[in-house]
Amino acid sequence: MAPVPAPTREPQLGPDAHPSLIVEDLRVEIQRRRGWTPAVDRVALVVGRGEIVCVVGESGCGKTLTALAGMRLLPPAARVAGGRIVLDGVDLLALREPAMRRVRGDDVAMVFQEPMTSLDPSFTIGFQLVETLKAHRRIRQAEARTRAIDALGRVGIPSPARRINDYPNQFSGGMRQRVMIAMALLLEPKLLIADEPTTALDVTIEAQILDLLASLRAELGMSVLLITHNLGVVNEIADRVAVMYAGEIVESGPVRTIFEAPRHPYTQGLMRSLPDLSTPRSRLPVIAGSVPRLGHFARACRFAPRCPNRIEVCEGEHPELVRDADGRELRCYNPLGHHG
Amino acid sequence: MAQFVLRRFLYALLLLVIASVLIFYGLRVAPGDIVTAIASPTQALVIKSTLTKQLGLDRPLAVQYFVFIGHVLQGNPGVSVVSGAPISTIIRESGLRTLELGLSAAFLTYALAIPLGVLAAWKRNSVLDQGLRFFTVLGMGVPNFFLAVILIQVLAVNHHWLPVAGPGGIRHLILPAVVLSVEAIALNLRLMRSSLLEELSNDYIRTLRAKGITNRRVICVHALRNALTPVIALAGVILPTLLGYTLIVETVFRYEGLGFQLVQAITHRDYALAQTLALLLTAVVILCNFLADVGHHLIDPRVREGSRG
Amino acid sequence: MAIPEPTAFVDVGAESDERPLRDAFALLLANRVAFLGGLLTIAFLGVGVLGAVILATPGLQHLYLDQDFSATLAHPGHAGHLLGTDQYGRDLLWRTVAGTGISLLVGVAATSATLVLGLTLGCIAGYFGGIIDRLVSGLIDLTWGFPLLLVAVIYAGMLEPGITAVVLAIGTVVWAGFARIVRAQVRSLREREFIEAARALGTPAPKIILRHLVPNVMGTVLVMASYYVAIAVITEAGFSFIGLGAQPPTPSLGQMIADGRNYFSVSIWPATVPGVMIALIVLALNSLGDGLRDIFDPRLRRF
Repeated sequence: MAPVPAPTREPQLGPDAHPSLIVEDLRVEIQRRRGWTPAVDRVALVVGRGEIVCVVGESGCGKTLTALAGMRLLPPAARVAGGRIVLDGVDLLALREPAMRRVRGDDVAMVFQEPMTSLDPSFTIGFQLVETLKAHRRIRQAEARTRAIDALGRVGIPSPARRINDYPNQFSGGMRQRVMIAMALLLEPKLLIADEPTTALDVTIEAQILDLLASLRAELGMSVLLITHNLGVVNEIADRVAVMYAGEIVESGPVRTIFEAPRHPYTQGLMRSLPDLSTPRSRLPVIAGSVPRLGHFARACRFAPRCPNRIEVCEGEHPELVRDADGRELRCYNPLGHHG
Repeated sequence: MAQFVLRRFLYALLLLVIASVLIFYGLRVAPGDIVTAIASPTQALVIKSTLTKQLGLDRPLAVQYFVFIGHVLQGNPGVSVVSGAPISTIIRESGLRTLELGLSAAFLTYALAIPLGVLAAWKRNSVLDQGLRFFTVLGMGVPNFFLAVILIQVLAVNHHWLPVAGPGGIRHLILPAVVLSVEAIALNLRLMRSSLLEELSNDYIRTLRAKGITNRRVICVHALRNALTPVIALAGVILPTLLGYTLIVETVFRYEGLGFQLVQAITHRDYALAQTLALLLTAVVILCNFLADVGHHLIDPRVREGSRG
Repeated sequence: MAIPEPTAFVDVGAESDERPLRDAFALLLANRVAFLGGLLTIAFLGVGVLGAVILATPGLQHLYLDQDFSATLAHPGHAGHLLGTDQYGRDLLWRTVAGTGISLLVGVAATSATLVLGLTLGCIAGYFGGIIDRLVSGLIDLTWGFPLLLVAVIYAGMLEPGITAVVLAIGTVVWAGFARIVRAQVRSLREREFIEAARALGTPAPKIILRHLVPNVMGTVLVMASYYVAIAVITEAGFSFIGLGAQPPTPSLGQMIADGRNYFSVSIWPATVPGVMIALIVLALNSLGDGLRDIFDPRLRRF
């Protein structure tokens, strides 16, 4: 192993010696009628260089807020209330807005869930690609165009030199998502945040897009933070996974470790509800109860009201995230389901 | 695209023909007979019948219609029975004045409403936004002729800063143009603001921000471009409305444009002039609507692409 | 435990088929501007009805016709004239009340014509589609976008000066805009399950339109009615202002302003009282309309 300077900050956070993104103790609050309530709490994440980390959870668990906080693009009714988001040694939350603008699109890029509405309908995709380049580099129009065409070709859009003059509504959903990815990768960012990039797409297109992301990661050596609710996606593409429930991470670790032996009752529930085609079953098991709405979290263990392994302490105290030897972090008092 | 323009153009022509027939018959069978209006009841019947012949009023209505249209198309619609001046001269002179007034008002409208609307949306809920909201509420509530009366009194009569009325140089144009455009400014400002705010809540705005595009460019290039679509659509209503208001505003300021002349002609039952003016103004309205349709079609790629397939 | 989301206000207006008017009323109470507009509108209706009664009762016309030459252009409060008098010494308060009566009459007549025409043709076009729809749409395009005043002035030439011309002009022009809105709404309603179910059960078309479609566009009717009355009031005033509307001695607010402006340097009241009255009426109706629109359909536009 090459000698690398050990990260001076919280080295225990990640297994990777080259963390690209470090999220520490992130807390996001949303505005309600009576003041601000936490929606994302004490979230810690590390994405190593060239690594794909998935954040998985049901809708409303705060995973999208986490991603948007990373871009500092939270909607007006949400705010970061604490923590740090460090990209290659730069604390993004401490940057002034003009500096942050230069980071967006250049060092960190983002791909969103809705390819159908994420592009400006009034301009050609060529215009939108070129403008991204021009926002960050002094570059001549002709050269910017060439790079835009290259980028479209790289994400597998046929005859890019011609399609570059088309408007977004002339592309299918999958093709638009490719355009979004091309746009995100134009400036070869260190980190790509993808928020449910395949949720709005067909399953076959989903596989293509995931393959594309994986190969581009290998080609460009960038880190990917992928937000999804789909464990199939996680299984297919992730190196590590963090499971979020009710605004906090309940379990995280290398994807193999977690998939082979989920420890948190919530992760176990998620795994069980994955349809397994090899064994015939009449019904998919479900997790009893429903996801608490943002800002309506149980005070102790937030999963306790729905948990099959619930013991007395779960309803009295809030469990901390504990790290074990496999690199797994777990927030649970009773992962084995002992009763008594 | 060409097909769309052609279709709308043919429709506009059809509309114009229908309107011309309605205007012609409506004003010809009107109760206040021009001959009676000119010739006083004490005048001999002879004068009446001579006048009737002279004006061609004894021929069948259909013939009269085609004679009228023929004259209009030749640019020689006759003379004003009241003032004796050739109608073509009246139209040329008044038309230029109305054009001047209308263009000034349209310019004022968009030159003020669009930037102010953008500002109001950008600095949402600021003092500026509140102030502009107050202005729009007033602008849409206070009738323009009442506003004209007050402005004339304060600015012209009391302080002599601007002329009271009448046509003339640019100083004579200021008050009528302002009064004519106030409501349109208020309407467009409000629409611009709400339309821009609506655009700013769209997904693509977040994409632009995520790309590192400056806030100014996000608003002034992308959001504005999309938010202009309803404003342009409204222009199809605003421009004819402004034209309608010239009837009032020109009358208040005794600004001798087409609107003033039409109101005078109707008041004095000068039907030859009234017919021609009504037809001309109707044609302008139809043209405005046609251009607004085409313009709307051009600016919105969603509509444009939709019609292609 | 369920604290309503702040967005609940918007959601209520977005859908639901049979919305009790009670909810709408509660929402109207919550919107202060709209509520104020509603109160002012009620005041306008009250004054307008009083004015209409005075206009229609020969025995009461002296209230606004009596000339008091000892007190011409009097200021408010002088000799029992609460708002002063005009150049003939006629009481401005009573003239304004009577003028408001004219405004209300014109507003109600023109708006009813607009609503009935627009609702009928819009429903028919939207429900039946096909050739009927194309015919009605052609008819809509025919008059849509014409400036009211131009049409009213042409009508005044065809008939004779008077408020009939305004009512007719509004009836011929404004219905098209309304029919357009109704047609679009009916077209989307037609695809909804409850309409399809009614059709599948063999309910006759007129019954479907009256029982299911019309109640569902009532919100739109209320919103647009507020706007249309405002448009009618301001158009009638402008039309009378240039001398083609209500003829003296019938007092129309617009015509009162036109008279009053000649004496503006002596007394501001004869022009200002009716001017402020028109502004208040229009502001009231516009804010009420805006409030109702926020409740029923935030996407509705005035045109």
